[in-house]
Amino acid sequence: MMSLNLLSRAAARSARISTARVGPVSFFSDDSHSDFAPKRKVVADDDEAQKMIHEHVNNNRIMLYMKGNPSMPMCGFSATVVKVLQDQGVDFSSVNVLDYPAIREGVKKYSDWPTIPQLYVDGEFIGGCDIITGMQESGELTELLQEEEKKE
Amino acid sequence: MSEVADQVKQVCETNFAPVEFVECIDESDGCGAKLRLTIASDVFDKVPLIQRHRKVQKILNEAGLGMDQIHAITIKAWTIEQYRKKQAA
Repeated sequence: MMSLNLLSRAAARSARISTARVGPVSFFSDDSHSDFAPKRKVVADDDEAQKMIHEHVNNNRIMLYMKGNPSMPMCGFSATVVKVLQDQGVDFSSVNVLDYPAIREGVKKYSDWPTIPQLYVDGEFIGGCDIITGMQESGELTELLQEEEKKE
Repeated sequence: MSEVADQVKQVCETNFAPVEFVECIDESDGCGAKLRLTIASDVFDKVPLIQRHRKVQKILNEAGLGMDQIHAITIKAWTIEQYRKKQAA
């Protein structure tokens, strides 16, 4: 079983953050930081990419494929989704597709969706920036994410 | 307004008719790489948001205006009622 060293975890629960901090914060938990040091895993081919993505989305409740990472998004649309998730106060995992071209193309095939960012909840593709912000506005996103919380 | 933006607008007018409102703004200094598309049509009534977007993507792809041509597109796909509510707000 291949280990998934691609993931960075961003937790932004206000309740857990000390009062000294202002606003939602993403951080890498200290004990796992070395796992996320620049250790590029080579993705051999399309099939391997599809398998990895399938594992990512099924092993991580809220999974975001983005450009950059939560503490440094490299695209406005990715930054927007990160902010929405932080405002929701949920834990999520992310992969920086800029570091993994095979994953960048692989997720587009996996979800049959042409753009990044891509958010998956409980193994299901939910949408990109427009959809996530639309669902945030309508209250659907809170409902979706809270439903997932209850399943824990 | 750029050519690409105009083409996108026209394709949407045709395929989502009857359209209450459609607008495609080129936000990429005219090179057509980044667009902002707004459509108000009852073709979207009772259609979940993601399906609305897939429909728009499909129509643009079929018209040769897919993501190989357009680098980034923001899509607002509303029903006529949703559009009118937003105008009133």
